[in-house]
Amino acid sequence: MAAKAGKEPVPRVSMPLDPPFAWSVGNWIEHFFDGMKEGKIRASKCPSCGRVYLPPRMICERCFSRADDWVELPVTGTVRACTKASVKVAENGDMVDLESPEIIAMVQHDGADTCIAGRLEADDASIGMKVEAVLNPKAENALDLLAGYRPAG
Amino acid sequence: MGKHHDVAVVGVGLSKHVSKRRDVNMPELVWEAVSACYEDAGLKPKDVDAFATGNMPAFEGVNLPEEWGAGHWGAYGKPVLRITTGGTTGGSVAHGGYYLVASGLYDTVMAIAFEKQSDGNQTFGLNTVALADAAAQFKMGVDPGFIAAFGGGAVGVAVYQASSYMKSSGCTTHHLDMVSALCRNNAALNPYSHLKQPGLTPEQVAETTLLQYPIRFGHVCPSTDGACAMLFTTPEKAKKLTDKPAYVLSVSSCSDEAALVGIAGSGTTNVDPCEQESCKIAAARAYELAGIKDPRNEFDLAEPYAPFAHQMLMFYERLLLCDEGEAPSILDSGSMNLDGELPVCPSGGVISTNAIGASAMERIAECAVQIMGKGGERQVNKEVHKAVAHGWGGAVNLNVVAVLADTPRG
Repeated sequence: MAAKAGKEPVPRVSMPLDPPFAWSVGNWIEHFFDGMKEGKIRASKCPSCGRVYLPPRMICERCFSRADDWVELPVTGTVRACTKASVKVAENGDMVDLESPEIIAMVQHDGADTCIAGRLEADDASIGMKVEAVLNPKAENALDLLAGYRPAG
Repeated sequence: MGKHHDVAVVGVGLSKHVSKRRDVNMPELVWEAVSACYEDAGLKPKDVDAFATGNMPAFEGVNLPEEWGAGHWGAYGKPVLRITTGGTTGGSVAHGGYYLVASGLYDTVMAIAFEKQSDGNQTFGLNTVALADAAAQFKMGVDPGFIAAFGGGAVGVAVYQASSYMKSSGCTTHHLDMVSALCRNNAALNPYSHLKQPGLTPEQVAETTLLQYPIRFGHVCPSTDGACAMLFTTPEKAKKLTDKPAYVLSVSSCSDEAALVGIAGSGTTNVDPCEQESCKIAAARAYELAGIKDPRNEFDLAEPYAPFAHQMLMFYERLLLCDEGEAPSILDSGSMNLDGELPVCPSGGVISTNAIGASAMERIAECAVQIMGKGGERQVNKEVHKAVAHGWGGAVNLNVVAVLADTPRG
């Protein structure tokens, strides 16, 4: 059936949604956050294969064991990958330019088998660079407890 | 019959089911069911060749949950297939696990279904199903509350279905109260159920708040966080693992015209929401594949999918277990009780526990558990040779049926 001339087009409606989703972090990540409030970096360790997870995980995916053991790791680690960001996503979802580029690094803490991503306060960065975590135990938001990284020493 | 292979169930695992599992995240919740399933079967992830998984799209705190969870379920380095079909998801996931073994492509397959509803939002999830329709009505000035009342959500669908079923069958509100009491008392014996109400009487159910006639608060399922896992394998491997495996004789699913109420959902020829023709078609097909000739007398147990009280009776009929309109008097006779002739919902049913994406699988899992004799306090008072499991969902138009038994088709 063809559209008739002069008629309003077929209605097309939009309905923005505000999804009220959540994510329960679970007991392992909660223990990690609680540790940083005391200035400690807690990682979970697989009792079967010995792999150390930071951020901690309940299950070792490689050997399907419960990573029930806990170890405290040093703030120091090594950059395994890094990038320089020149834009960021604003709260409304728009992409905006950063005033100055920021370095984001994947850091493997000494003693960990995993990496954790964070902002690296440095003039430049390279793979293999030694860095240390900067904790902010007084942070109101749990995700800000680990403020970022800086060159070690 | 077809050239497909016979399939055995060698393990069933369930997580703890409650309203809100804040102590674990989604992959960790599912891990509980998965590890219980490995333990039940005496298998390890290395013994599993492939995985089928699913939950209700948009009901979880995350979409693509397999991306977050597969490693937690022992699927590291293995094929993972995700299946979602709305309310029937858990049934479809179990069917997927069955197909992977029945096809001969894989020997041992784990099927995993779950829902962590407390992280998601059911209303939002349902909105995403019928959003275009709801949006159109909203723009036309229809009050959103009214849209919810006459179209949105499963309660809106259930009340019309219930009143229609009551008129055609002679089912009374007292029968609805009886169904709730029967299921919640069974649930009290099931360590994995959510709403346990030991000693609940129909009279107590009749005193709960009337939501929308004829459905009272006591006639409606709860919203549950929970997960279910099942291990399927070949009869040869099953015999080495257990003396008493369960066998899946057949699975069948059937879709019908969408029957949501609204602009896009209206205009289908499904004018009677209790007709559920697709359930009858799916049941007949499943029985033919399984070699069931007399469903009324061959089954020892039924697990129909009934989040609302009237549905236990309605689907008992649509599963061809009696004449249409006969189920209320069968309920009166006590035959559906745990110690009855054909026990119905020994698990406590969906009306007691509804982790939506898992619910249709949990019907199949309960049949397997009862056949294997692992029902504990809720084990029915008879040998279970054949059992029928059912799931209902989609745009209220999908039905899935599975037939399980203690011996393979051969």
